[in-house]
Amino acid sequence: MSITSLLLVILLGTVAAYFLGDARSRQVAKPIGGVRHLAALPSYYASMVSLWALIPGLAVVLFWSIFDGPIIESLVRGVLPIETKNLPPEQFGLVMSQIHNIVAGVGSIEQIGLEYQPAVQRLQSLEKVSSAWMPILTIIVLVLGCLMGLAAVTAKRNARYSVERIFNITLFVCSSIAIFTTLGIILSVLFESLRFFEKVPFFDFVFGTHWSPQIAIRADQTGASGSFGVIPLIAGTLLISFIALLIAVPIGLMSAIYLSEYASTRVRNIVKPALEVLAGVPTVVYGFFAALTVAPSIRHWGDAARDWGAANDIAWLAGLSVSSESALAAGIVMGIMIIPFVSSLSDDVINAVPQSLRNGSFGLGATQSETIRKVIFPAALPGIVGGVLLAASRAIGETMIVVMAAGLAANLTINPLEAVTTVTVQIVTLLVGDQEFDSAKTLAAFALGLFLFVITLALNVIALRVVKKYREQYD
Amino acid sequence: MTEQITEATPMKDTTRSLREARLKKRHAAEKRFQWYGRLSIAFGIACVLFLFYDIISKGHGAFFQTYINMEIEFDGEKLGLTPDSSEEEIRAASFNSFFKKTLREKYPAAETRREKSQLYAVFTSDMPLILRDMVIADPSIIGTKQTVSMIADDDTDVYVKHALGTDSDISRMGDFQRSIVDDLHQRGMIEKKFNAIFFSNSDSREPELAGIRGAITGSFLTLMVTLLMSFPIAVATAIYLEEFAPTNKFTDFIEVNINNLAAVPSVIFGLLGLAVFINFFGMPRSVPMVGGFVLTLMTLPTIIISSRASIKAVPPSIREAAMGMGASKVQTVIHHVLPLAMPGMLTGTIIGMAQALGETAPLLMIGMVAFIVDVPGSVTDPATVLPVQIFLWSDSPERAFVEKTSAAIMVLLTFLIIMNSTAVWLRKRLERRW
Amino acid sequence: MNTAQKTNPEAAVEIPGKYQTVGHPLLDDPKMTVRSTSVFYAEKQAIFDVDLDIGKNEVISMIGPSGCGKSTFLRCLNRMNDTIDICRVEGDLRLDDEDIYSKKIDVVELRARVGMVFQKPNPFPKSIYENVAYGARIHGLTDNKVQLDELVEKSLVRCGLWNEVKDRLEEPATGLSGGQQQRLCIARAIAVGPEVILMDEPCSALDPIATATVEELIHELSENFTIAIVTHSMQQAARVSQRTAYFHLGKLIEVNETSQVFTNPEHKLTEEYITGRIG
Ligand SMILES: Nc1ncnc2c1ncn2[C@@H]1O[C@H](COP(=O)(O)OP(=O)(O)O)[C@@H](O)[C@H]1O
Ligand SMILES: [Mg+2]
Repeated sequence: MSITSLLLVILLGTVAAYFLGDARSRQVAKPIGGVRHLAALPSYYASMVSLWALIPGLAVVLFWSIFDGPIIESLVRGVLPIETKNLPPEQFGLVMSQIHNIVAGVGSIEQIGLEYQPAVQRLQSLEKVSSAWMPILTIIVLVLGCLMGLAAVTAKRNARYSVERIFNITLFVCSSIAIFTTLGIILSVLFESLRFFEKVPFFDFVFGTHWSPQIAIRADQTGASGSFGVIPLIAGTLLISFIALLIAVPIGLMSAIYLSEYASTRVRNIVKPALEVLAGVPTVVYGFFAALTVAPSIRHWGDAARDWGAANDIAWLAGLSVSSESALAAGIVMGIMIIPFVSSLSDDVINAVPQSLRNGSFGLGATQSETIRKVIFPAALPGIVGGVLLAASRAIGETMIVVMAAGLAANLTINPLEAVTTVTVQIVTLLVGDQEFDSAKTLAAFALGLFLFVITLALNVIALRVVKKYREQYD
Repeated sequence: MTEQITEATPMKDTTRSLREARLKKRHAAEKRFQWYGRLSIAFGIACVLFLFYDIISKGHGAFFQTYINMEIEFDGEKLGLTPDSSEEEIRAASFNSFFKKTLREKYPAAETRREKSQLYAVFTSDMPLILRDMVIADPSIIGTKQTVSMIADDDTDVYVKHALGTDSDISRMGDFQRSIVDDLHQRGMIEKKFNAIFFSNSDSREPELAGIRGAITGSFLTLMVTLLMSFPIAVATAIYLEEFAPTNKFTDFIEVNINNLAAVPSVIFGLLGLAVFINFFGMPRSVPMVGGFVLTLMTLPTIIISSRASIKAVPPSIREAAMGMGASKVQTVIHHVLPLAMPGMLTGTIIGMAQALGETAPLLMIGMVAFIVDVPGSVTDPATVLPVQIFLWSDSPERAFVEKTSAAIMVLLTFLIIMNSTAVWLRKRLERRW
Repeated sequence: MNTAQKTNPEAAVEIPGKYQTVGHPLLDDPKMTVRSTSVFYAEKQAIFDVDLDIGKNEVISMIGPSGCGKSTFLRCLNRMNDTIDICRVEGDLRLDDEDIYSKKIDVVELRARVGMVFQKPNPFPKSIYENVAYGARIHGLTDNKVQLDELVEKSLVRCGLWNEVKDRLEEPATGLSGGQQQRLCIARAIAVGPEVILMDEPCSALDPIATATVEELIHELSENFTIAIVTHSMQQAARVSQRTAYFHLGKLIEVNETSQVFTNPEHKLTEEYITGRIG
């Protein structure tokens, strides 16, 4: 029985339990003079009984699906030849997955050797037992839960109280998911990073200026020396983010200023959503746009400029070379993407500047632009800085645009016409495709992830602090 | 007093003339400043327009596909079949050589091997299989002549769409192939029809056979998982934080976590999914279920934040009224607060879903980038999603995939526009009610 | 209707849009003249057909119950109402016989000539020095730092603030006390070299001691400037102004010598207001 149909059975059981609970409560109520004499409404008794059935049922399914894998694995391990058990973890994992494949019907026992026959048989029978017993056990538990729930339906018991308690606990558990997510992120990137730093020294990673994980794999599987230097990635990330901010900050800010200080309500109502469209376009679309439209035209213009420079003897122009995957293309498109982000943050911040300051300035005979530049902008500056930091964190964490348009060449350069690579590009590249478990290459992605997480988190925390402080100032 | 006036007046006059001397410059600066604002907005709007123009101009062609209407004689002898042949016999027959032979007969000019292969390359390489399926569906056509609408190869398609009658070498076709296509065109055998293949097929290495059905199904399944997980959890969290949570350090901690998660780059969620769901819990790679889990964690903050805002917007008087009638806190929330906050929560959820629908990076990490030809049937079948399909196609060297990619983007954007407009509409309605 | 005359007070108020101001709203040789002026916020009329003159170097105070349009009227005089989208001003307003609503007039220059001080002190979040220097900088009144320093000092001295702040000119102005902030705002306004200063309840956010200082300052400034002050305190009006105008529901009811308004009001509504029956 598949999980989906089992879940369906549980659902049906829960509904049945609800009606049973309802009937039972009315039955209990009859001799004592009607439902008015029960401690809670029948629907609460019904809900209580259905929860008593549902929760244990779900728990069985959940725990079974989490733990049957590892338990079966360890049992199968017992019948493996001793030399297999002593294999290093990577190769052992390979053998286990081959055994799994054979049980699943892919490949044959001859390919890996007959000494694994007992293991294959063991696995086969255990899986059969497991898949047969899971639904049976689930249904038994469900029915037992339902019966116990029915037995608990008494006139004195306040079912509402139990139901509401379960309700509260559920809410609390759901709220904690945010914490577990953060914890999950931290633990997963941290653990894998620590394993990475066992293979590659921390300082080689942080201060290394050379990044070429591919070579490391070919040379030796135990990792490499010197080819995991993160500096070029950081430089590339910063270069692209800088270009993006160079576009997004002035344009986003000026748009916000114009919309909030000059534009009529009608213009604002049209232009604002039009700009917001830029925020709703998926990043993969921007990536496509950057790679297929912007990068080729930059290259085209670069070549034209070079030819023109050569024709007119302008040495620096004649030496111009534009890579087909340039930092500039990725940066420009990323900048376009974060324009609405900057503009809506600035908009909030500018609107928080009290009207009295504007009046004060107008009252002295300042023009509107003087008021904006000399009073509103300085007053809003902390908030705008916060917004820029948030935008920077966006740019640093942005992935698809750079994956599609920035390329993989880990050049250490500040020339925006060259190809560079970024932290996010490398995370994706290292993890997409065939990955060797435990190789330095795979683990490096997590180290980069840790780096990215720490940087963006720090930027966000600082930015939110700054913005909050700023808001309190005018509240 | 008189003394002071006479002293003060000249000073006022000089300051006045000083001020007036600068007025022109100041007004010019004002004008300039306004123009910076207008230009910024114009730039933003131009980006929107150009982006859409670029995608549509690149992609609209993909909604049409070139077909070649050709009369084919299903010669029983050549195929070694009769109208009474069984399905196995038909499957065993060599439609490949039959198809090639038929073409050679129609174009005897193809003599060298290169010319012949260029002749075959006019049509999609799956053509023999398509003919076979026609015969399986209706064996009685054996021995008859049929006009078959044959799917053109992607190079032919690009040539017909963009280069017919021009010198452009936009398509990578050989001269001979080009001459055949020109001839077919002259004879009026070439027809452009609505590209149903694009919507009914899944991914393929051949651009003319590639479609988005698998990706759309994958996106749908992934989104369903995301919705079923994130909506209840987000609503529960929002209710807890707004209505039940005590004000203590732990509640603060939850809030801080939610706010920070909202700003964590999506690629990090991919790492989480890989490390926790796939490596730790041993869930399968490339499946919508895991994709849905990852996107759930990613969209939760968005939905929680907007749900909280809409719960906050429910006037306290309603809570007081309900509690005043002896309703418990839980009853008040479920019967009164929740229904009133629901439109706002739905708005947030739709926006979160739109975000999830466009998301690519975390899904790459959990292996939803595989080349998958089958349409996924359940949340545990390997699948890809629309944005990832776009990513994969945009990487393909064939020119025809540019068109397909842009068309897939158009489909994706259409879904997003519908979702976001629904959200806007819901929000508008909400505003009117309160 | 340019000659004010005494009419039946009750009838005057009951017919909207057509009434007579009692007392002496008009003067010979005025600094500013306001004729047939009405103000609308979208559809809603806030000022009804007001005629009033403001004399050279006089202090005129405007009193009346809150919401009667005192601030709105004041803001017409330097076109601050232009900054409110829905606000529309009709009528003929002149400064030194120039129509201030004509196309030829530059609002920016007008506001430099007719400065304004607001109800709540609104120093810019800059240093004390920069607050005072702001107007001089935007209007280009000085050529160098020495002149600017001089101007800042002079303005602060005139407002009696110099001795209090001369050692902390670079500190943020928001750190000053309310009364100091308001005097700073006045210093900021006079640094631009205005001819008229409009004050909209300048003391309502201040404590009594700060109020006294500001009132004294107004008194001193009145020697050089024309001042129109809105106040909700009749004592203040009595202390600082020579003439008083009483507004009621957007209409200018009575204008007279301050002493007369408070001792012997002509109009019944004025009397009710000063005796506390209308608040
Ligand atoms: N910005 C505005 N928009 C719309 N109506 C306004 C605005 N400012 C003032 N009003 C209206 O104009 C009338 C006069 O207001 P105001 O001049 O502020 O009165 P006062 O200063 O005498 O208390 C009031 O009825 C007020 O509601
Ligand atoms: Mg007022």
